[in-house]
This record gives sequence, C-alpha cells and structure tokens, in this order.
Amino acid sequence: MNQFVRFAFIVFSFVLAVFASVFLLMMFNDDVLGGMVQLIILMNQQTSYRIIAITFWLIVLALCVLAIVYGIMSGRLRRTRIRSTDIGSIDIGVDAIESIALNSAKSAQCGIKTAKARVAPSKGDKISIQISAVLYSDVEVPVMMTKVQDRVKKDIERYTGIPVAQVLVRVSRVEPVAARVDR
Amino acid sequence: MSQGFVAQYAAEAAMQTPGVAGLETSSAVSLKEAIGVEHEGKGVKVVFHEGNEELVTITVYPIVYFGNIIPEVAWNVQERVKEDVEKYTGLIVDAVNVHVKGVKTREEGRK
Repeated sequence: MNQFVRFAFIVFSFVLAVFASVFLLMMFNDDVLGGMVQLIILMNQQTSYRIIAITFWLIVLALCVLAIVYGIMSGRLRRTRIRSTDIGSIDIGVDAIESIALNSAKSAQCGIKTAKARVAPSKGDKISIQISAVLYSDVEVPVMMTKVQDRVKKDIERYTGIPVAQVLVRVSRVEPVAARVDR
Repeated sequence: MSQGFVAQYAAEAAMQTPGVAGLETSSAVSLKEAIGVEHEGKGVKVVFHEGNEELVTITVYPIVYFGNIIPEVAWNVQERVKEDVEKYTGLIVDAVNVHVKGVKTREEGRK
C-alpha cells in the first residue's frame, strides 16, 4: 500500500466516522437535526457555501471510487507479464499463470483433492503464488506441502520464465480417504 | 483487404503452431456470435496503421497446452503468423503481439 492510498483511506474513514456520528446524534437530539437542516438550506441558497459543498462531495465521491478500485485490485496482479521481442510483445495472462500453478500442484501426487491458486505481485519483478488446497487425510502435511511448493516454483519458472518469489500453501480442509475411492 | 481476411490467415497460422490448444475469443466477439453476426478469425485482433494501409499490427490470444514453455511457443507463434500473413497477403506485418490467455491440460482438451 503506497503512501498516497494510505492517506486517502485515512481521510475517507475519518469523513465517514464524522458523518456517522452526526447522523447518530441527529437520531437522538432534535437540536442537531434542526442545525443540520438549516445547514443544508444554507448550502442550497448561498453560492459560496454551495461551491464548498460541491467540491467536498466530489472529493468524497472520488475517495469512494478509489476505495472500491483498490479493494478489487489489491492482491491481484495488476499488469500481466510483458516482454518484447523484435517482432512484437509476448504477454502471459494471469489466468495462464494460475492454471499452471494449479496443474502442477495437482499433478505433484501429494494428495491434493482440489486447490485454488492466486497470483500476486511481489518485490522486484517477481510474483508470489498462493495456493489453498483441500487434502486427503492420509497426507503428512509439512513434508508434502514442501514438495508441492518446490514443484510449483520450478514448474512456473520453467514454463513461463517468470521468477517466483514465494509459494504460500494454505491447507483449508482435509477430506477422509474413503472419498478417494468413489470419486 | 478486410480485417477478417487477414485475421483468418493469422488464426490459422497460430493454430498450426505446436503447443497451441486454441484461441480465446473475447467476450465482445462471443456476443457478436450470439446475435448471429459471422465473425471471421476468432481470437485475433488486426489493426491497420492509419495512413499506411500496408502496415498491420496483429494481436493473438492463444491458449497453450500445459507442459510447454510459454515464451518459446509464443515466439513460434509470432514467427509463423508474421511469415504466413506476409506470404499470403503481401502486407507488411509491423508487430505480432502474443497474449497468452490460458493453459489447458491435454486431458481437458480431449473431453
């Protein structure tokens, strides 16, 4: 999170907090309600107040949009990997990287039932990969997951040429082995 | 020379490259197909240069089979598309951009 976004979030939450408390007070106290109504009327009638109000609301709106965009974008790789040759550029999409990670994790023969992969940018030009997996219950988790990490890292570096900073494996659930037979 | 005409050659050339499973159609194109409009050359974008009609930039969106080294496949696609399009249409290909959209395992492809 860079400095500017952080600052914007602080301002945004502060404004939100002020409004929340004012509205709460309005519910319990008629004087505050009257004051707010008067303020709103004032805003509509006088040009100088109106300009201030409009700029203020525009800023708040911009902050809202920023918060939404940041919430959606964070954690996800923003731009895909581009390298250019003399003919044109080669671009490997996030989906492609994710599905390589998924495939190599599943084909590692480490008792992974299902998995989800997620690619995030890391320091430098590297990427970090998060895998959350559902395992079978006959798995020695630390040993096997080390194997999975190794394999995923190696496979992605080999197939895409993108250096991998880290592979995080999260075991989210364990299924009984019996399920393996009737799958 | 229409865009679709060039795109068809490019799509064919890309499909013939070893390791390419298919081309990803964009959502706009699938929408067009759903309406019933025929779209030539799926998964390829052809842009003619303004002012100079002889120069084209082609963008391909392939899906690659799992187990291939993606940069290598992409280079092959670039070379093949450039060569074929220049040979058959006589246009000058300025750039071939490859945007790998996904990876497919062979078993998935067989289904």
